[in-house]
Amino acid sequence: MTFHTRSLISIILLSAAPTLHAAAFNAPAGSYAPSQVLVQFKPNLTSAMQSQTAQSIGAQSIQALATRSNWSIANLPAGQSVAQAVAAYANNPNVAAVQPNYIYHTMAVPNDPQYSQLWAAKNTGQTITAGTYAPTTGTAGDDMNLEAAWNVQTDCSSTIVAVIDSGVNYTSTDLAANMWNGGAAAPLHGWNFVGAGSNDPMDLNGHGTHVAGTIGAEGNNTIGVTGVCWKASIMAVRVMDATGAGTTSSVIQGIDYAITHGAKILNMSLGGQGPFDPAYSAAITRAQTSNVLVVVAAGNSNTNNDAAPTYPCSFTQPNLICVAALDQNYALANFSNFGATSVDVGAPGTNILSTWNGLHTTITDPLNAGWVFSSTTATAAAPSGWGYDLVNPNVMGDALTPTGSQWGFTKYNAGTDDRTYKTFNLAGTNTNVALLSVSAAANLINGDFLNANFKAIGGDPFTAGTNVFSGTNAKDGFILTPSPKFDISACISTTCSIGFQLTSTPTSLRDTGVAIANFRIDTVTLNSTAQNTINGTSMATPQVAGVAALVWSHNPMFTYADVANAIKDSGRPTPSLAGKTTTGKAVDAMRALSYINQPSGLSVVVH
Amino acid sequence: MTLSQFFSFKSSSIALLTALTITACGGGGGSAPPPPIPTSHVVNLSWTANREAAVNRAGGGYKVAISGQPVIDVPFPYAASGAAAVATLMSGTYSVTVTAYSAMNANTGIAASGVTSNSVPSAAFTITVPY
Amino acid sequence: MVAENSSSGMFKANQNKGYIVTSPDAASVQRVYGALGIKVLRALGNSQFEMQLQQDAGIEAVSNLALHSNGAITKVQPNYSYQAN
Repeated sequence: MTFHTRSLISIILLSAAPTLHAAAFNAPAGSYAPSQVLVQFKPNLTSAMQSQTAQSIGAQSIQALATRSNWSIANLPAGQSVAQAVAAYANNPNVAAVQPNYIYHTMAVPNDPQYSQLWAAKNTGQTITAGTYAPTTGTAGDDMNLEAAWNVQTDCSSTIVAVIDSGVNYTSTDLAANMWNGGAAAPLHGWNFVGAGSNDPMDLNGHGTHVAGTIGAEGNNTIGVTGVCWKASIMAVRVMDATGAGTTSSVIQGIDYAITHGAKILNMSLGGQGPFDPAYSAAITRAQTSNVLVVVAAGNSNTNNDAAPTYPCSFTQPNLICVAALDQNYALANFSNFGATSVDVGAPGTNILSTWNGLHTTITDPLNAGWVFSSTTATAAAPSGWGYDLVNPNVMGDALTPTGSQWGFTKYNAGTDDRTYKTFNLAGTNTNVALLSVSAAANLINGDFLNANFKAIGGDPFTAGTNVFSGTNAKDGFILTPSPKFDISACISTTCSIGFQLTSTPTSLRDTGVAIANFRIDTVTLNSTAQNTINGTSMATPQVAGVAALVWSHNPMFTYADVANAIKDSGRPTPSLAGKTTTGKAVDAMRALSYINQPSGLSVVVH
Repeated sequence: MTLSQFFSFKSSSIALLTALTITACGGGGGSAPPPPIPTSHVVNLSWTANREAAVNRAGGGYKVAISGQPVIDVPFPYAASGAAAVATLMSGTYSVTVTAYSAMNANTGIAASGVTSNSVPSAAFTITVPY
Repeated sequence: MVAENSSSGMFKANQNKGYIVTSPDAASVQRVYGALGIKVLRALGNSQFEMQLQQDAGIEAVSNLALHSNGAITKVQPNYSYQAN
């Protein structure tokens, strides 16, 4: 062989350098077999030469694949990583191609009919048909990688998750099988700490049922949706009333109940922008002492929790994970709070379909007909009392101008008792909840009052009725829209009268009184099949609580710190969360399941 | 020998002695002592067992990386000593890390650049093996 | 139960959810605050009680009574409000 020929052969060999599959170096852990590579030897290389080649790189053995393509599996020696082997084979002149032996899983997909609407589990870019947050379509792949995770774990029932919220509709056909069994002491799967309390944590609001469904709506049962956990043990702890309001006292009782009864994870999709709450903080610490993980919502005010703390998110205990909301393109939702030191991770929180508590309907009144008016002082000369504002439609006012009937320019009388009421049929079909909301503009001298009352048996609600709210000493005061909701469920009947009363002292200096607008009654009829699609960091939080339950169920020896590390450290780096959260990551269920904590406690003895 | 020969001999001896420079060993101008001879030592390593279920079943284990040494694989099932490894090291200083793995998370953390690991190596631990 | 009015005192008085007080027993709470008229006194566990007063004197007055209670009341805080997110 002449030099030139030899050189030509060398050139051929170099130019036919083995294919180094760059994907090998970017392949995520767990995506390939740990002690093997696939090697394609050059054509016409004998078996003996193939073996020799593999041995020279340290292979324990090679085995030709039953293909026509000349591939073999090379089993690596102890201590050689796949990346090292790929590099070594890539540099060998007898090798045409080398790659990891990738692992493929069947993706676990549940048979729930609305599964395709759960973009958080699998984002294909689908349109969420009942979505109200734009965009309602998203980016394929921007999801929590749940199908891969479900190939590993679907059953969270060994890890009790307490939904500390407005209660749970435990009769929901998609939740009933996954409710915690509290035995005789808690026959309705939890406890109610609102007001005087009871053993019935039924959800009269809907929020808690939605949260519960995201965590653990029964999966693969041919009904409705699935939660992050197909099987679960959900403890219903009611700390918020039908309007979605709770207090420190109800919340801390709920936390202590959950801890005492074996919950390992607490989901609290609630918040307040009040000052630091010592009693609440102490309850979180009691949870920490009991090895309980607490997952909470960041809040929906689009504010920086680092600058304006919101609790419980801004508590600093290590057993607490605070969650921001992502949209279908994994952008930070425009309502989501954030905080580089206080908010930890992001998870899907827009257009989230889940279980609901029942049928919600709304009665609105135009405030221009059907109301009964009375006044103890009104005369032609000194008009006072309620009436329809003819200049501002859909407003009732006291007092109105004598001509033109316009509110805001005429003062009410001193020593007056002006009333107006109307009768509503709230009974419907098994109505369980009724909530009143109004807007009101008020100019009242101190000591002159606006009262709102109801009476279930009809007639004047200011005679033996029930007070809803009262107020005095107002100047340009408003109950803003959307106004707070007042629970008038005790008025559910076919003859519920609701009314407004303006009273003034005999020596009142008087003012222009009150205008009522936007009168609305929301009713709820509980049922077992309702669903709803809503938005909030409240919806992102149970995604994470569900993943925590998957992780802890898969690893029963874990501490809360192990679970928190697995969730926070393994997440997927997401640009919209960078600088807005402590981790800059979106939760990834499969990576959380496969995450391995750092070994510790190394010690050595030298002999 | 005559007295004059003796005194001559003695003088020349004294001169010879005077001419001799007595140099202390190890002082300036002498050769360095030989370096210590490295010796081989058995080193027992142990660590707190990981709590991941997958590390504690088939496909799981630990990789012990000692600087300048082949990686020690400690696969499941573990010996009675549990999370432990034995190495034979020559005198010197070594840095040790331990990384757990499982069938779900094969990468040991001893990664080529660009490989994403979902397993966190331990903090580095320094071993000093004496001479 | 009423709304908050940002521009005046209207409705403010009815917002009060009471206080969380820490005390060894309910009798001590009654002794310190009984004169104000206790509308609700509910044990919360961990030596804590939810207390709502007939005549709410405000957090400063309530704290002041605690300060002079010879240890009968060791902590006082408002019963804060929280909402579904």
